[in-house]
Amino acid sequence: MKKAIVFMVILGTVFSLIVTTLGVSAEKVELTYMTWAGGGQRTADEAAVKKFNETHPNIQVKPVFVPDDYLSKLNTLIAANTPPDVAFLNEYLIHNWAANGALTDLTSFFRGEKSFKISDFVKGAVYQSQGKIWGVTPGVEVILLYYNKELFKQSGLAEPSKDPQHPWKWDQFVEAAKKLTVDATGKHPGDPGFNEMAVKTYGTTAPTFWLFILPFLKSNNSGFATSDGKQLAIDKPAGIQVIQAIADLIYKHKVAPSPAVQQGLPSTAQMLMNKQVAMFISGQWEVSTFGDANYDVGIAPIPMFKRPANIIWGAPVVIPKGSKYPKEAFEFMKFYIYPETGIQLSIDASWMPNMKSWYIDKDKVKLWMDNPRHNEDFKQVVPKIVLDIASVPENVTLKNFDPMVVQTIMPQLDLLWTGKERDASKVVKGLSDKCKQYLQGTWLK
Amino acid sequence: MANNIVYASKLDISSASIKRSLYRFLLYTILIALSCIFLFPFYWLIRSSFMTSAEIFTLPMKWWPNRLQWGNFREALTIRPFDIYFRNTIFLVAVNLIANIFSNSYIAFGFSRINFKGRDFWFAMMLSTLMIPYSVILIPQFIGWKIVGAFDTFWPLTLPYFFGNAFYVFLLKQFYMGIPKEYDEAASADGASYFYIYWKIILPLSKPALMTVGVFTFMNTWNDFFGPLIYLNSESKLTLALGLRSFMGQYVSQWHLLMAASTVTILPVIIVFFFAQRAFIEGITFSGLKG
Amino acid sequence: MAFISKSNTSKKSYINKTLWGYIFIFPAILGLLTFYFGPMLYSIIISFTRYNMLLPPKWIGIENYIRLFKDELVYKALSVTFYFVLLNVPTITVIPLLIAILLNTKVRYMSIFRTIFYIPSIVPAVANAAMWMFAFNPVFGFLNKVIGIFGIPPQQWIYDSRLVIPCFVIMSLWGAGNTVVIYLAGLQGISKELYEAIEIDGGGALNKFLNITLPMMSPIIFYNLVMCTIGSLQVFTQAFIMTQGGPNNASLFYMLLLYRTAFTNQEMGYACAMAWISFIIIGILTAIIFRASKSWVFYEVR
Repeated sequence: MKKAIVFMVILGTVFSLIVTTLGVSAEKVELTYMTWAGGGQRTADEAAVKKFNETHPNIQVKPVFVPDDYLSKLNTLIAANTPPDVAFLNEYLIHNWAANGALTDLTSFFRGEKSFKISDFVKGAVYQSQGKIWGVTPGVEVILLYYNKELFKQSGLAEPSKDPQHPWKWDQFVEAAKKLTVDATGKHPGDPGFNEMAVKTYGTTAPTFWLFILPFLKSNNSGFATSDGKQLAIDKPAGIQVIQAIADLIYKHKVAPSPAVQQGLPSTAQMLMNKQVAMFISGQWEVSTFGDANYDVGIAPIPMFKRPANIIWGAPVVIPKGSKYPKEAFEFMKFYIYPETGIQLSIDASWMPNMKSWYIDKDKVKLWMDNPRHNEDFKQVVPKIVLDIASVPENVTLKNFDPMVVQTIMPQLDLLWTGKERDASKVVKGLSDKCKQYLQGTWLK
Repeated sequence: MANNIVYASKLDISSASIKRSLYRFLLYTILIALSCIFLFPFYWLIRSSFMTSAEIFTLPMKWWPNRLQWGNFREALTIRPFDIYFRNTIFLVAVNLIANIFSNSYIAFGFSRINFKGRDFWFAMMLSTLMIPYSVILIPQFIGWKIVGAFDTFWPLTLPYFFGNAFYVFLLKQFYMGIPKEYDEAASADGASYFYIYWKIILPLSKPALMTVGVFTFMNTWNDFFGPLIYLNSESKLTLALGLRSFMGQYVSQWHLLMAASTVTILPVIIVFFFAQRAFIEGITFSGLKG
Repeated sequence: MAFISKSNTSKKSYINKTLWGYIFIFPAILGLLTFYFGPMLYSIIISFTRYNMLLPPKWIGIENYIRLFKDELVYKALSVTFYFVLLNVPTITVIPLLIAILLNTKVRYMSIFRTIFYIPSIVPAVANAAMWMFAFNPVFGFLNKVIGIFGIPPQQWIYDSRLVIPCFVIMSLWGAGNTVVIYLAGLQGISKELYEAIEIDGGGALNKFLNITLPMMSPIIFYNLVMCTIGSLQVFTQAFIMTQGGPNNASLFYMLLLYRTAFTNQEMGYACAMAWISFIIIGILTAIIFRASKSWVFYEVR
C-alpha cells in the first residue's frame, strides 16, 4: 500500500513538473505588424518593435513597412487569408470593416487589462461601434492656427486670442489677414492700386482641404452631413456660410493665395518663416518644421463661427479577424499604443499622446513637450484643445465618408476654390441628389 | 582667266562648306537647348540631394545649396540597409535580363518567322494581357502564389518572365519582320532547322532590339515598386525602389534623404544606358543586312 | 508522280511548320495559362458579384454592368481618358521619332546627348512629381516664366480643369525617352545602302525621309502607336500622386477611378466590371489599328 502511494506521489510530481515546464516554455509566436509609416515615423517604429522583441522573448514581431498603396496590399492579404496580426487602418474605414466582421473584437482584452482603462484615453482615441471596441490610435492630432509673430509686431496688430474657450471670431481673423496682406508696393487689399498679382505677403492660406474644413463646420453647428448622417448639411445655410467664407478669403478679401499657389508647395510652414504668409491653418504636425529650424512660431486656437470647435482623431491600430494569435497581437498593440512607446513621435510632433494624464501630469508633459518643437504657445494652447474643445470628426463617424465627401463633394467644391464659381450656394446645387446613395447614417451607436 | 576659274571654284566649295557648318551649328544649338530642358529634372534632383530639407522647397528656387550637405548621402544610405536593397535588386535584374532576352526572342521568332495555324490567335491572346488592369488580377494572382508558398519570395518577381512578356514579344516581332525572308529560305534550303535559324541568324541580326529589351528590363526591374511591395514582407528581401519610398512620411517626408538616395540609385541606370547605347548604335555592324 | 509527291511534301511541311510554331511559342502559352487566364477568369466571375474583399463575394448577376451604364463618374472618367489619348498618342508617336532622327546623326558627343534625353524617363516617380509640382506653380514655377517671355499671361496649369490634361501630355513627352530609344534601335536597322541609292538618284533629305525612313520604320511606328494607345488608356500614377483626379474631376483617369473603386471603396465587383468594359474598348481600338495597319505598314516578312 505505502509503496503504491509513494509511487503515485512521485508520478504525480513528475507529471505536474512536466506540465508546468511545458506551460512555461510556451511556443514562440511570430507576429506581423503592418504600417504605412515612412520617414521619421518608420525609424521610431523600428525602435519600438526592437524594444518589444527584446522584452518579450516569446513574441517576436516582424514589421512590414508599406510606404504606398497600403490598402491594395492590406486588402490582398486579407482576401488571401494571410492578414497581418496588427495593422494600421484608415480612420474612415475602421467602423466599416468592423461591421463587415473583418476585425477582432477587443472589448474583452480591454476589460481584462489592468494597466489602463478606457476612460484614461482622450476623446476619439478609442474606436467603438456597436458597443464593442475595435481599435485604438497611438497618437492624436488636432488643427491649429499658426502665425508669424514678427509680422504681427511689425503691423502693430494684437496677436490672436490664445484662449481655446474664447478664440478669435472668424471676422476678426479676416480683418487681421487684410491688414497683414501686402503687395510689392506695400498696399493692402482694398487700397487703391492694390496688385493681387504681385502679393509679397499673404495674410493667410485658405483652408480648402476637407480635413481643415471639418472643424469650421462644427464651429458653425453644421457639417458635411447632419449629425444623424441621414441628410446633407453642406448645402444648407450654415454649411454654405462656412465654405463661402473660406472662398472669400481668396476672391473677395484677397488675403489668401489660390489653391494653385498654395498647394504647389509641400511646406506652407516654410512660407510662413519666409514671411510669404502671415498665418495658416493646419495640423499640429507642422511644429516639427518650425522646431527643426529653431523658429518660435505663434500658435493659437482656430477662429470660430458660432462656437469654439476643433477635431481630434488619429489613424487606429487594429487586429484583423484572421490573425492566428489575437492574444499575443493585443500584447504588442498594448505596448505600441502606450504613450511612452511612441514618445519619440510625440516629441517629433508627428502626433500627440492618446492618454489624458499626459496632458495634465507635469512629469509626463515634460517628457514630450520640453523641446524646441513644443514652444510656450503650444504648451498654453494645445492641451486645453485636446481635453476640452475637440470632438470626433465626420471622417470617423459618417458612413461612406470617403466616397461621399472626398470623391463627390470635394471635387464639386473645387469649382469654388479655383474661382470658376464664386457663389457657394450655386456650387452645392445637385449635391443632395448625388449623395443620396451614400447618406446611410453614422457609426455612432 | 585661269585664276578666275580657280577663284570661282574656291568660292563654290566654301559656300557648300558654309552651308554644312551652318547646319552643324543649328544642330548643336537645338541639341544643347533641348538638353538643358531635359537635364533640368536631373539637375534639380542632384542639387536637392545636397540641400537641407528646408532649402529644397524654398521659393523662389535656390539654384545651389548654401553648404553642400554630404551627410545626406551617408545618412540616407545607412539609415536603411541600402546595401541589402542593392544586392537584392541586382539579383532580380540579372535573372530578369536572362529571362527576358532569351524567352522573348525565342517566342517572337515563332510568331514572326513561322507561318502556322493559330499564330494570330495566340498573338492576340498574348496582347490581351496588356489590356487588363493590374488592380483586378492582383488578388487572384496573389492567392495563386500564396497557395504554392511563394509569398515573401522572389519567385513571383522572376518566374513569369521566363514565359515571355507581351510588351517585348511584340517589340521583337516587329523588329524581326524587318529582316528579309531570304535569309531564312537560304538557310532552310541548306537543311538548317528552325533552331539554327533562330540561334545563328536572327538572334545576331537583332542585337539593337535585344539591347533595347535589355536596357528596358534593367530599368523596369531597377525601378519596379508595385511587385516588390505586394509580394515581399521581409526587410532582408526589399529592393531599392521600396527603400526610396520609405523616406516619405504621412505628412512630413525626409526629402533631403529621398533626393540623396534617388541620385545614388539613378546613377547605375544612367551608366548602363550610356554604355549600352554606345555599343549597339556605334559598335555593331550589320554584315547580314548590308549584303 | 511529281504531283503526288509535291502534295505529300507540302502536307508534311505544313504539319512540320505548325509543330515548330508551337515549339517556339509554347512558353508563352504556358505562361498565359498559368499566370493570366486563371486570374482573368476569376475577375470576370467577380464582376458579377458584390465583393468587398472582407466578406465572401455575393452573386448579383449583371447589376454591376447596369450600374456602369448609368454612372456619371464612369462617363466622366472615359471622356478624360479619351481626351488624353487623343492628345498623347500623336504626340508620343511623332515627336520622339523626330528626336530619334536628330540623335541618329553622326555628331561628336552624340552618345552623351542620347543619354541626356533618356534621363528624365528614369527619374523616380516621387522626385519627378515633386519637381513638376514646382514647375507648374503659377507664381514661382518656371513654366509661367517661360511663357511670360512670349507674352502669354500666367496659367494655372494643373489647377485649371482645361489645362490639366495637356499638362499630363507635357509630362508624358518629357518621359518619352523609352520611345526615343526604340526608334533609335529601329533607325539602326535601316541599311545605309538604301540611303546611298537615293543620293545617287539626286534625292534630298525629305526624299530620304519619306521614301526610306518612314516605310522602313513603319513596323516600329506601328508598335509605338499600339503600345502608346494601350498605355495611355491605362495611365494613372502621376494623377494619383499629383492631382488625385482633380480639379473637379478633370484628371479623373479611368484607371484611377477603377483603383479607387477597388481599394478605397472596397467594391471589387464593380471594379472588375469596369475593368472588363475597358478591356473591350481597348481591344476594339487595338483591332482597328491592326486592321488599318495593313495598308501602311511595310514588312519584309508577313
